[in-house]
Amino acid sequence: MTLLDRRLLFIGGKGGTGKSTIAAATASLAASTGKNVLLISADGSPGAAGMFGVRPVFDATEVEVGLHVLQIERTASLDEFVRVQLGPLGAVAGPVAGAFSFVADAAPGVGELLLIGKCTHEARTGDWDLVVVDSASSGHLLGELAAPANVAEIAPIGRINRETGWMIDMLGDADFTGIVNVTLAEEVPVAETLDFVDALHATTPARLASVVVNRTRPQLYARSKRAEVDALLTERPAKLTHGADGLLDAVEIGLARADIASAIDRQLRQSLPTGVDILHVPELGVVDDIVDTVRHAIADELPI
Amino acid sequence: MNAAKPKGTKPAGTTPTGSAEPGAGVHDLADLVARNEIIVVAGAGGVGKTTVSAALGLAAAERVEGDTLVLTIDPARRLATALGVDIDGNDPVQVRGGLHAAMLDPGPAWDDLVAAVTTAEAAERVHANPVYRRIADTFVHGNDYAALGWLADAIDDDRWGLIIVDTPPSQNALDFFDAPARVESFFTSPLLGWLTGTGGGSVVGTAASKTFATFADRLLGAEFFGDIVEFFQLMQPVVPGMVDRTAAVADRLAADSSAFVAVTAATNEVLDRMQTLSAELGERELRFDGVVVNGVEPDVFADAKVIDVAQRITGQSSTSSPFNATHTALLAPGADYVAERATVARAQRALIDDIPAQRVVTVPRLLDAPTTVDALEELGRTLLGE
Repeated sequence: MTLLDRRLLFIGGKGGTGKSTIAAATASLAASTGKNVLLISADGSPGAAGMFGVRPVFDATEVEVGLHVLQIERTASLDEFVRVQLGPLGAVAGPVAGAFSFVADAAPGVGELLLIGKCTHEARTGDWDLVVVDSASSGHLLGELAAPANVAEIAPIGRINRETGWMIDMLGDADFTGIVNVTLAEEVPVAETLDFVDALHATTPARLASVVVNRTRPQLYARSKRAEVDALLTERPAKLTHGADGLLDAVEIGLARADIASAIDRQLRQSLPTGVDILHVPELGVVDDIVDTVRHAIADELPI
Repeated sequence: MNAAKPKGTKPAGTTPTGSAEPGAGVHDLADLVARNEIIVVAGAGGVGKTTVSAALGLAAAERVEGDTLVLTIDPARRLATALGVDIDGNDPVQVRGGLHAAMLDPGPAWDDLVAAVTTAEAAERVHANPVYRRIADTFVHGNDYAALGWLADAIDDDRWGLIIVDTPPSQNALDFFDAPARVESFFTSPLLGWLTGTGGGSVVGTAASKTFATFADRLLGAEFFGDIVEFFQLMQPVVPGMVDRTAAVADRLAADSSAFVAVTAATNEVLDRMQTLSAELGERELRFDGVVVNGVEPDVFADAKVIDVAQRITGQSSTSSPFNATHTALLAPGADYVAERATVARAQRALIDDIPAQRVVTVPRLLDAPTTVDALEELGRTLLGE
């Protein structure tokens, strides 16, 4: 199955990898294929949901045909949770419900549970063909995905405990839920991706669907031409102008960057579990609409 | 920390944060390192903040009197990788020479903070509470608060001539400074007094408290709810001391002997976030003393003569290529690449020119992030303008 056949995608990765752009482009791509898509920003900033010219709020807003966005806000999710859970009692409780929100906000794991609860709840309503979540950075995402099981353990009875079961089942259904890790073709980000995958599979019910290698640099030359270029760069023609010599220096940097990207890509491919797709999004120059450009790059990588 | 610290390189009669005017074109951080006791490094996630902190520490350690300590509170714990050493727990580990490094381990840092402001017996009761045990990672900005307590210990220690503080990403970098006030307002909330029966008008045993207990049972289960209430009751007497201790650190970071350095990547998105951070600092009457821009395309990509040759090769320019026909054809894909990066290099330079800070250091995009001490030292020399 391909990435967009799933119903719930959490897009995570270390800071600075461009995960929000990838999340926005993935959601927009799915909407362009006729799906009804919800894009959730869940890392406390407008993130991906804010990339369509509209300031996202806690209620879903349509920003493109078939594409809705919302931003999870802690207080609003807590109020919604208390309202849903307490039913008619919650409406009449007034300050008592306020005090409850206050305690629940401080209780360990409840914030993470509310966040995962909101995402899984939206995926369960049937309103959406696909829910894409622009998630917190790797470490926090692990905590969130593990929250239903952790809370079930520390609050062994009560309503919250009963609510965690279906969440764990949904997160653990690899045909329904997929985790996407966004990384760069560099040593440190790839090492962190591999650590993340190990921890994900060890501590959460969720499974990795894809790794997106962002801002990668495809080889500039086919293998057959490479020796010729390398020879020109090494044995430079005599009496080159400053500009011509500089151009060769710049090309040399480009080749070295592409070589490193290829080597790290090979390492990633060898180390990931089988069945995990690797998608490549090239490094871009100055572009007008980055989400649209990346959307086309992802589309090129997916068999749609 | 040594309050009357004499430093060999400190020029007499200068203000603690330097006297350069905006636009004066200072392109290194050497004077900041020489003149300050604490340097706070802030920035968005993934821009190389931890790497810059480590590099600055390595370079500074050879130049300041007393030892240098690099503290990272970044939960991603990349400092160890960057320095190639294992750092465990909150105790500083010697990296080399006068440089020491430590990473925040929030759990023990909370324990130390509680122990520092109360009796051993009371601390033990707090430590044994099951809710407290899980709180370090989940409590409202618990890491910021634990980090301030931890920094208080470092400041109290006379051996450190310079402390470099790596902060969490900028979405909450300044939450760090608000942590004491937030914790105080949380623990002194009337709702909490009402709940724990410490607020004077206790409602324990009243109809309202029974309704509350019914809710709590339905949602959390009675045992978990009981642990939470006990946690708040135990924390009540400890909080004032914790707030005082951490507020003193927040004040110290705002003092003239502390400097702020922002790390950013040279992209529109990241620079925008830095402007926000800068504005928020301004609201606290603080400012960035220096900005480090990472990942700037090397000068060769912004060189007009190089770009001209690239355009002549790709046919975008009517002037002929300076290379022979074979080489021109061979170089075309490379020249395309150079032309593309040139647009980025120029856009970056325009953004950098607009940065409103006294000291702006640009770090060229490297082939690989510096992960060895040698590479970090080289970066450190760039930061200090050597």
